[in-house]
Amino acid sequence: MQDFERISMENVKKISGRIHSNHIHDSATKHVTGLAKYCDDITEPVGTLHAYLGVSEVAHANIKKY
Amino acid sequence: MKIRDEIKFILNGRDITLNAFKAEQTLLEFLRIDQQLVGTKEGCAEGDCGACTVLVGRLVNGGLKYEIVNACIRFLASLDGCHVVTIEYLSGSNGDLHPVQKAMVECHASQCGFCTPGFVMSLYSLWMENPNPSKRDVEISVQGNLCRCTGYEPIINAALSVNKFGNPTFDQLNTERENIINKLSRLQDDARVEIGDDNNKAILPANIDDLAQILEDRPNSTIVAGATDVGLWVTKFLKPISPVLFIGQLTDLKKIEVNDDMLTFGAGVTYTEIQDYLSKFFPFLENYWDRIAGWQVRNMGTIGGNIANGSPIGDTPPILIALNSDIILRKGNQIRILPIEKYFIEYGKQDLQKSEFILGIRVPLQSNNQLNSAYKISKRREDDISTLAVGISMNIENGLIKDCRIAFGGMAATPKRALVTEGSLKGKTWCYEAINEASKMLNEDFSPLSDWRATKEYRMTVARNLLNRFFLEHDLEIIEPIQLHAGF
Repeated sequence: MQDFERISMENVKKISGRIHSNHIHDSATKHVTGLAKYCDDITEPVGTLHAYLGVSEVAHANIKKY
Repeated sequence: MKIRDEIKFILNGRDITLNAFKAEQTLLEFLRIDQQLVGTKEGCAEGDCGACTVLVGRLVNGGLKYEIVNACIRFLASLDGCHVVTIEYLSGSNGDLHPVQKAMVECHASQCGFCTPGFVMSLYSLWMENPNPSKRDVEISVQGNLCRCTGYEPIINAALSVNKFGNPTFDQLNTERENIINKLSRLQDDARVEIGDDNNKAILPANIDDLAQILEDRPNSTIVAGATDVGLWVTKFLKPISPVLFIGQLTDLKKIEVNDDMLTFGAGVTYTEIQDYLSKFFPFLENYWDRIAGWQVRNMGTIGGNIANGSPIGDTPPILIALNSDIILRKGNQIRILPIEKYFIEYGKQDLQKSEFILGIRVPLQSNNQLNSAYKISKRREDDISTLAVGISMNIENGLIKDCRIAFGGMAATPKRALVTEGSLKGKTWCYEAINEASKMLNEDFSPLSDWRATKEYRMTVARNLLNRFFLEHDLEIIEPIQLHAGF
């Protein structure tokens, strides 16, 4: 499994500037280049299982068989 | 007849040759799954939202024309001989942003960012064609792109400022133009292209004669011109469409001719390609044309296809019926000419024989006495299917309505003339009372349905109002006719 990048709050760039000064969206460059990754953009490993919610048709019941 | 069993095109900077793929494979699937070019997004998968916008360049009269299209409903096979440009091609090799991208960043024109690559492609196309656009030009250029969170204002501001960040003359698509023209020219070989086996076949006929022949051999083929309707049969209804005959690339079907009294054009002419002719010969259609879908769809969709599919809510049939147009049909070597209104028999049934196809459309040019209007009512001003549409054409001589043709879409199971209403108008004095009285006859012509676009009562009321609006816009007694510019 891929290690997720750990983010330490000390390393996060401090917000600078004053009120009423515009800041560029921190993902703007990724958005305009198409490099921003959305769920559907991440390649599925072969054999990925998909799960779906099966919602009960009654509010309160005992499962007798499945 | 030379037969080729592969398609060739250029994807960004690479040559692609493919000989095995599904006939109904879309460009978007190919980009995102086969090529892992995931910058192009899938939003609606029906050519509506524009998140999948890419540029497709093709040879036109020896030049190279780039147009934005919806990759989600563009079939892969139809790209033979084209240059496909995706968002991944825009940034320089050193990671520098493209002028359009810089403008989008500087103007804060993204929020969730999902629609952004599509907007960038549409604005790229606009900037190349028109580096100093007006606000209206920008609005029209992004008609086919939906944004649900950023808001359009910063995007429009970005579009208006692109030219500050770069000059299109130095853009790679312009500096590489000759090179791409040479490459694409070498791909043209006048061959028929056949991909796949009999269970799943895509065919690009070599020319019109070849198309007629293939339809004789395979009468059950699905003809695909712009795919703006058939694309949805695949993405929304998962309908098998093989064998597929792609005709969008046939230059013979793209001819437009004007002789003394007729505008005649081939069934493969797109909304975009006919636009200049309409502005010149049917200027009343200029505003109406901007109401048809968005640029991506107008660049692909054909008027021939809009007629052929027989939909009761197509944008062009009511207008073409009101203008007394004919369609030219071909089967084998036989040509048949049919008044377009006769083509629509009932819902889902058209006057089209086995192996027959629409070759072209001819529209009579208008006389000076003729008053024409076209109106479309839809829930959204841009990029929407009509709730109802109407074409009205009246011939006024010496203050009398000598002749009139009124055709509605969305009021019946087919595009249909209002014959009773027309009859009640003929010979009457051109005045508000006559039109208003006649508008009450519309319920003898139509019994519209209620659906999620509108109720039957709404449809009937609006239909009557549009007839009255026609009078108000054209009344010769008023020195400055009222021009109603409201969107709806």
